[in-house]
Amino acid sequence: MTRATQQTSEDTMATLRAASMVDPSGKAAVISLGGILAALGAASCCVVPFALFLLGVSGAWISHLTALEPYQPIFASVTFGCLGYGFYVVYRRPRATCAEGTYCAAPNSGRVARIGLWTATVLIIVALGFPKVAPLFL
Amino acid sequence: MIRRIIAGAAIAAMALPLTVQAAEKMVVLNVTNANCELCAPIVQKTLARVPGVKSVKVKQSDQMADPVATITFDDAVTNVTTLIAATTNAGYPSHLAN
Repeated sequence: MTRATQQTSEDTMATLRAASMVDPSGKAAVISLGGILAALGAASCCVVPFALFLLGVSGAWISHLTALEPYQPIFASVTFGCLGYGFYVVYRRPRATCAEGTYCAAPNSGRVARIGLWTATVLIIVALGFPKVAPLFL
Repeated sequence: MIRRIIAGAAIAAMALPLTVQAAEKMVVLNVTNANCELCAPIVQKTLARVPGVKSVKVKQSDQMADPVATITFDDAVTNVTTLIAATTNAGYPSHLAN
């Protein structure tokens, strides 16, 4: 094998290795979306019904939301799991080298994941904390 | 003079059934899907908004139990079906306690 060919194949191997690394920013964005959805599930009783009540929205369909109440601990656990892993990926894991032109090489790619994670954090705090605090001044 | 007395008595006699009808009734409802801290206040406020309701008390013996709503209402203005529909439309179906 000539030196030029060897160099090309080494470059190719390096590019392939970088490209096969899981894109951390994309993964964190997906995790943060899962966290937001799970936090909304945890809010289904009773923050969402309370908000609907304040807005004057009513309908027998709301009882489908309140029926999720026994699963609230599951939603909360899933949320905390997503948040824990998501924050770890975004803030703690050493930055992997991003392949040129991929999503994670773009400067703002980590920001979407961070916004999603903090949104989910606020949502789960409201979902779990508001029902404890609100009856005190209702 | 006598005619006025008779007329007055006739009007009072006609009005009497109306006063008897506009009576206060009390009903106790068991509310389902509502075992959380915020649910009892929502049920209470929803029922208090129903026209004709005079007073609502919602009691929950503990976190996991269904709340029990004791409602005093004017049965000329509203009825049990309307009250049950009101809680159901807030997301908390209810039924008469036995």
